[in-house]
Amino acid sequence: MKIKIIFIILVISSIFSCKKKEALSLAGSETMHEMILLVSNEFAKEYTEYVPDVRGGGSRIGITALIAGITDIAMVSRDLKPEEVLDLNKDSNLEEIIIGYDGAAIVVHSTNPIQKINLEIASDIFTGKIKNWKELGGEDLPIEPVIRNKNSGTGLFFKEHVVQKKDLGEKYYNPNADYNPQSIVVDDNIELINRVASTKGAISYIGMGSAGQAGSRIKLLLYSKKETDEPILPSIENVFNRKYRLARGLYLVYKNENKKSVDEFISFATSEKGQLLVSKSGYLRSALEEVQVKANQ
Amino acid sequence: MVSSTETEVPKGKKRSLRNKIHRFIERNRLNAGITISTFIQLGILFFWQTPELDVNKLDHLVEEVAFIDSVSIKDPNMADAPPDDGEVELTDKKKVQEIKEDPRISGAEDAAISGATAPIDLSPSLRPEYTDQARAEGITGTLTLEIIIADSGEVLQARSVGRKLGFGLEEQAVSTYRRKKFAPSILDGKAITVKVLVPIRFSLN
Repeated sequence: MKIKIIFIILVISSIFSCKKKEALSLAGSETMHEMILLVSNEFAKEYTEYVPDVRGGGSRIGITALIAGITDIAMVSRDLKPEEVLDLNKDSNLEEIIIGYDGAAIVVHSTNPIQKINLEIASDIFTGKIKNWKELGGEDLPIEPVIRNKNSGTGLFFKEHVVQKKDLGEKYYNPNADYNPQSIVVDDNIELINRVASTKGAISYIGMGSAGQAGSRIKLLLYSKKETDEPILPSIENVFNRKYRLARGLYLVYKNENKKSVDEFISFATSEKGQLLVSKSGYLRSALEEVQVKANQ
Repeated sequence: MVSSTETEVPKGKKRSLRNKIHRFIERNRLNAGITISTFIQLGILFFWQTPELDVNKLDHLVEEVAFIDSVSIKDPNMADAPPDDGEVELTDKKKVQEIKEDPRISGAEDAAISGATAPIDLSPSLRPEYTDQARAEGITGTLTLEIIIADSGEVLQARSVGRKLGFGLEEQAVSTYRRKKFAPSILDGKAITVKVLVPIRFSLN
């Protein structure tokens, strides 16, 4: 009889101890997709009560999902637009935490002899003013710009800073400039890498971490803001020492509603462990080195 | 018929009051239990639900915070009070200063994006410490501070982001970083205000 009672108690307590795992949804930037997957996998090992679900598609997808309340955290690789800030601040306080830095890389086919590019030339290529590699000292080959769809944060960042020449200052900034409508539009980074790797005349832009993952399949161009500046390769070191001048922040955006799973993830991503994973993904960490506070119990 | 307990009492002896009570309880065990339980429950209900006194709750607050210097209390029901969530709000000099936010805070740049130099900590020996309570409770873990360093090198704002460790550790870290001094970020030869993240790990031996 005693054994039966003990058995029943054990069964009941084990049923109650089996807590349901909590889902944590992250969506947005393709640039941040692989990096956040890496961070979230390690997070799930340490915080076993959560099941992270990471989806790409573009920064705009993440922001829209966050506004609609169907994702917990938006991954965003560009500055938020004023109207997005307003929408996100409607119900609760918006939080925007920078977890890393990227150097947006300009990439071409691996056999392209061109080594470097500056902002002015890049703008002329992507708007369609320069149409053939021959004009830049390359082969007699039509230039085929490959751009991301309208959901892309990288696409919007590149358009604003390079195509519209915002980085050259107010005098040169042309907010009406746009991508050549003949450009090939792709949905994600995998498609972009495949397209550039298989098209001899292709040129595109991509986060330096994602470009690094593509390896020798594509070629990174040295970049300078002005023709007279030294052309620099996008790398963690060059973004850190401020030499590469097409750097941007990678943000985790969320509504500050004191949701435990979100707060735990933000702390993990900005901790030493999370920041090392950001570096491992090919991006520059954002947080300073961890400060250790030790005491005797 | 005579009960067994009655037989234990020697004849002719007057029963003591104690014995009488014992006998009474013995006979009316169930009734006595219910009566005692009812009295206890009534007692709990009486002391628990203290009748509400018809006094202004604001008066209580005034008394409670009277010792604090320069504190004023706003009644949210007052006509000229701004609409809020109905809670009574305390405002003191410090809070007024926080409301009038330094414009440099909202304009803080990111050094790595703008191309500015990184700020340098000029007071590295000034570090957060464990609070007695956190140590006693065995609290460990990492918290992250977001700090805004002004063009003058002072820390304009420090706040904790993400999860909270509690037991005064956030407050301790924030107050320590507010006292720190930095060499500011420099962009094109000019000092600028920047924002940085600092993870702080608390561990016990």
